[in-house]
Amino acid sequence: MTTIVKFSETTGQPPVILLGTSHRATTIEQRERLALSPLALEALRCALKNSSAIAESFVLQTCNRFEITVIGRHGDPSPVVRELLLLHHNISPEELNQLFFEKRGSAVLSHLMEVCSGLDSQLIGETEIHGQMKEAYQRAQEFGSLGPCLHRILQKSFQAAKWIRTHTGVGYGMVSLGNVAVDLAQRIFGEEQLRSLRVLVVGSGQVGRDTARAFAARGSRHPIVLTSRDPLKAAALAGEIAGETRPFACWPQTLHTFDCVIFCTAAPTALMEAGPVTAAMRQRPARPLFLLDLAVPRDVAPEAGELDNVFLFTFADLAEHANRNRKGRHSEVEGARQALAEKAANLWKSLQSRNLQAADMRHSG
Amino acid sequence: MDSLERLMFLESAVLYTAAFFIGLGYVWIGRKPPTWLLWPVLWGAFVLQSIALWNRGLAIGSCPIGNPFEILQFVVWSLMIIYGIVGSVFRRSLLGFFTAGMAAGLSVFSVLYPALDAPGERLFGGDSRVEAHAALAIFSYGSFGLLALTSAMYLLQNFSLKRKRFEGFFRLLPSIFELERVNGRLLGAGSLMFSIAMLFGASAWLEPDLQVPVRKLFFALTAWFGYVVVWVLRSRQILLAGRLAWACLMLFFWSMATLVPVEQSRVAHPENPVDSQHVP
Repeated sequence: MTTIVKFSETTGQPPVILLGTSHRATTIEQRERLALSPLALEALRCALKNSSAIAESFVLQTCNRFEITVIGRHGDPSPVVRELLLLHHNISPEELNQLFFEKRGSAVLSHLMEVCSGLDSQLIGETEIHGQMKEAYQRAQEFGSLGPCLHRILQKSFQAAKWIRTHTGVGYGMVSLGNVAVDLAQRIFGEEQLRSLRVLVVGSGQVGRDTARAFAARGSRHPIVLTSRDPLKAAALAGEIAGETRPFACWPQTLHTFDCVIFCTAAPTALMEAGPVTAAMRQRPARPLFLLDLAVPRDVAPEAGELDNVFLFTFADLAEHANRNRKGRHSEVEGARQALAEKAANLWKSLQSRNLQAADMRHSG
Repeated sequence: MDSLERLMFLESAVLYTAAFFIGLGYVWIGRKPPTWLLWPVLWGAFVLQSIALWNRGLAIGSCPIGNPFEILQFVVWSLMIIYGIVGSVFRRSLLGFFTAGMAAGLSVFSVLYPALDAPGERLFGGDSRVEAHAALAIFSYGSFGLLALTSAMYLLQNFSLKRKRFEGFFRLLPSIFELERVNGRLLGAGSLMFSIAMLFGASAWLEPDLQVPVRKLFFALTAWFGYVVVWVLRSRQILLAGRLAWACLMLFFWSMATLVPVEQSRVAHPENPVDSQHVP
């Protein structure tokens, strides 16, 4: 069964809206609270798909953002999406208004293009978001929540991101988070010690894996140790960087033997409180401990970073450091934004003129 | 002090100050002071100071540590010697700039107050054991001076890492691990030299005809005891990291403060020619 999307009778515009929240408007604590578990995320996707007011939907959840883009079936879909957000995030309407932003019409297109190009990322110009959006796109396609309108918008966003990378200097001098982490390790341990560091990676998140690769690329004398709830993922990365794997249950007992611990799990609560870190430091009081918490929600309690000789950095700290490292990028970013705004305007005109039909992806059975 | 010698001390102080401001200028714009510019000025100051101290030693017929002016100059000279040894570890850091700052501060202070170099009784009469004690003790202060600098650098780096401030000046600092290690070595070397100095001194103090004012003895012993306690605590890994840096910094200020009773005693007891406790 297909349903014709009713474009605004006065303007002829497709009823596209985006409700979201990101690192720009929220603290890490708030984002931790707003992050949905995989099960809750699936439940929200189902609810969006089953809503009679929504023709197409696309959900994007990363460490730093949560966004829902929808095409309404009969006019403004915003109230329905808001209601679902209240329900699934368990927040009050006031909090929703405070933490979430809403974009409509062509602004949605510009926004998606900027997000996909990394211009809206905490680490400006990063390319990981492109992959995350593609994954979310594939997931939505498999789930059947995309129609021709969102499909076209997202495809154009991917193309725009590629154009930005090849035609502007936004990605020039891009400092990867891995290299920033190695730079910080150097400031803690010094250049000479860098190759002697004992590194542990807890989890198998993408950013953590990139960071582990950056450490491995420096030619560490000791094999990088990997541990994950998913032993296959840990083994795959270990094979790639000539590392070692350890059972997930064992790593807290051996914390004191490592100089640098990278956390990148998807655990819903902190894995490491300050107490075990204090105990580990008693066994290595003269040697600093570098904790890199790249997970959202965080894996390490912030109090651990207040301990003497313990240096705790989060994803946001690394991103800020990397952004500062890139001088003269401001004009490039502004130029890229303008170029994306033009592309979004063209796409918007195209959508209006075609008066696209959005597919109702609900299965009749 | 003859005019040529005084001129050399003055020129040396000016050059130390110039080195400091060169470093400051570069740090201000977020860059490391270039060695080719900083070192000739810094070591030029050191050479002039060495010649002046040598002349002073020849003139008085002993090690030039007989009054607060000479002690300050000798501390700066020792600081530069220790920097020459340790500085190579921190090739890419700001240690030269910090050393220039301390050398400038102490040497300018010493030349600005002629009273510190006023003619009077020498602090360390002519007893070779007392002179050896004093020279070693003051040399250990060069080590402690550098320790105070590396401790300050440790605290700044610690602040930058804890508060996530990575910009300009902070990124030029050495690593936490290197600073902690060098702090331990400087503390050990300084405490050892100071302890040997105290042994030399003690062998002289036991002589019945030597009267040592209790106040000065108290100040000297507290400084020595403080460093030894900190050294022992550090060796046993009880006092480390930031707390060690704060302890070393405070101990150095305390040691410098002991110069005041040294000078007061010299003025108050000009008849007492041998006073081995006057080491700051």
